Amino acid sequence: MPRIEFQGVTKIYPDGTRAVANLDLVVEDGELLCLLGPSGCGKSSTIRALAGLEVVSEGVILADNNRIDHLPPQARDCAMVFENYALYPHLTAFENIAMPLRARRLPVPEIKRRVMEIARMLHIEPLMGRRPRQLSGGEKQRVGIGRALVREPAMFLMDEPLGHLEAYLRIELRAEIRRLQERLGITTIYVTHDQEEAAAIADRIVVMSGGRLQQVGSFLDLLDRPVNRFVAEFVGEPPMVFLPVERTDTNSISVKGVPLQLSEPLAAALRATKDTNLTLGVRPNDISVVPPANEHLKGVVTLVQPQGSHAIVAVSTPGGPATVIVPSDWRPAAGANVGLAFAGERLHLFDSTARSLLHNREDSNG
Amino acid sequence: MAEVQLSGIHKQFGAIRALRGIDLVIPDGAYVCLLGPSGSGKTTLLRCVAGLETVDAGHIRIGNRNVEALEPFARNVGLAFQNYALYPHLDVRGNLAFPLRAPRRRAQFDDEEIERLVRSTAALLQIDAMLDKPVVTLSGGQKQRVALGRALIRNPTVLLLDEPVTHLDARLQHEMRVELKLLQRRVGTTTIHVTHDQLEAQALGDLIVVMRDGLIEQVGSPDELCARPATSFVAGFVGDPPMSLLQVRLEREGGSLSLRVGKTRLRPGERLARLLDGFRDQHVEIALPAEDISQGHGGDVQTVSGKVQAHEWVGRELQIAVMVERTLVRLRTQQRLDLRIGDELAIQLNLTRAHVFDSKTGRRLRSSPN
Repeated sequence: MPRIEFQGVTKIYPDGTRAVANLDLVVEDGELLCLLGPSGCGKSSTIRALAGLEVVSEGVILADNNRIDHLPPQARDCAMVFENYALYPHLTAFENIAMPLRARRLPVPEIKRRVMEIARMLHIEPLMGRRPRQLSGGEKQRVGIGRALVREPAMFLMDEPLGHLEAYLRIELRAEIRRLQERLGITTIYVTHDQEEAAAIADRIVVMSGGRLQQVGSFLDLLDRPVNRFVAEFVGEPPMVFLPVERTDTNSISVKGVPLQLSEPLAAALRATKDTNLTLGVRPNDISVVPPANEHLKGVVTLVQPQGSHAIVAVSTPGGPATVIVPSDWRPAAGANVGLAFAGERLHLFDSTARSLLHNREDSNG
Repeated sequence: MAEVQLSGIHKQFGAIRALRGIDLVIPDGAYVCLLGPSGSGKTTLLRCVAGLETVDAGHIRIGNRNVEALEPFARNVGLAFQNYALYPHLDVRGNLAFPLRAPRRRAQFDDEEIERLVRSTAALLQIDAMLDKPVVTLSGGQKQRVALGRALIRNPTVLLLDEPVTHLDARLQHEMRVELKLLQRRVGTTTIHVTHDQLEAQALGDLIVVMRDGLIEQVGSPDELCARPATSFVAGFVGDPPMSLLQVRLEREGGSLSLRVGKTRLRPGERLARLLDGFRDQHVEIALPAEDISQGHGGDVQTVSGKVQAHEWVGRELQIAVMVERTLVRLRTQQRLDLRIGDELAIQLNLTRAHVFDSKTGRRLRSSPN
């Protein structure tokens, strides 16, 4: 299985749209990498360029240090699965999966063995005699995955493969995909707009926006060390809370007159900038609801949503709305006057260009 | 605004008995979620209240009227569906006004009145800026707001919602949940919301009705369902991840009771020992919340082990499913474990809060049988 490298890859469509801009990215041998971003961020164009379905405008793509971006698609040994299953309607599930092997003129017993082996892994053995219209959406996508993997490709590319499916099927099938990928050890790039899906299955996640790579890292890296406000806002559920900050002097800041306790690294990052247009970012898990007091930002609880072991509490504050995660056994009531305390060591500050004061200098390819 | 009373509701489709005797009282102004897997009868029940299905037996009372024999339009209910069911050729205004322009209502509303209602409803749902837009140009969340507005415009006595947010993406789902709940608080309309998503039901419902195979398993507040699930089915459905169900064998040696899972004998602890006093040599089913299952070897009798079936990051936590003696046990950990599917994992079970169920009936055990 190869290591894939994008070097300065840019894709400009004939209408002038710059879908991917100067992408540098390494996909390690055997890893499952998710490309995550909103629609139009360039994630699909990136894997289509790797598969050879799009010609790159600038830059090169390497597989184990060999240039592949000029090769025809069939010479790149990528298998691709799309959101719409693209099965042959007149063929049985068995024949759909067998298609790539027949095209290679493998001996019949060998074809049978390999199709049934992959069918077993995907738990669709009993369905092999059925045609696509006799299969459910989830079953069709399993057949699609089987067809992609049966010829043991070097790379496995998936473009929103679960987009059409019901929520419970998505959860079931993504676990299945991860299991299969681990078992086969195949280098996989998985495109999705759903962070829950990316978090669930990826070794590393690439966040993209406007054709540009924003950050690469594990899901926890993205949660705890977002390099800019886009990543901070896009990743994490419920989303990060943003509050406007007044800069009182070089060393200190406050939110609506309430001074913030900063960690030493954050205080140092603050001293290093003259920017006065700063925004505080804090995760709902890193805020506590406390009795109202002058040293805390005050607010009124607008809604409480129990979630089993915890509850999601919406609080209206003079700085704007805030969401807080509280443990179930200590839950305020709607309408209550409360204070909000922030976990000082987990705060984020964003400057007027939306970059994180603390994390923007880190190697974003971490 | 009204109380809704359902009594003895039965509904059959051919050989399928979709509803097998439903008795339920929904208090005036309550937000009630009907929760269950597909095929449990929750949507059929909603459709019966709406009048989209006729009941084979039983009574539906909305306020002080029996409505089971009435046509849907005469029941004064507002309906919103998963797929919005908007009229694609109309703009937002046209969709909102549609229920008011229905032939049977022509006499009721003049154009001026219709425009006034459209505007106040649009303002309520914050879609007043897009009244002239064709609905096909709207985002999923905006379409859902229009569908809700259409359901609310006639000021219905009951609002009926069928999976209204399920197919939106995760971020939008959470936003729409908040909007729905705040909206319902504002208008105060008795609301019945069908969902298969237990976290959605917990977030929204004053009361949750858990359904299974055409019957009600339990009615309770979100806290009640988690703290005292009435059946093992309910226990296996609630929690994040849902509670794990284990078949255990009770064994009594001398005076002491142990709960056997495979080869491991678990100590019951004081509360369970009291609950199970008098039970002997039989199987029971226990349910453990994910908070009471932890990864790691305690080196004592409360440790079991199994093979990792799945592992996923959910927020800051790793959720792990482990097969222990043919049962899937689900737990969460904040540790960064490098797990592979098939790895052997030791886990510790804390039984102090375990729920115990009769393994034949699935009902919660309340006291000893003798």
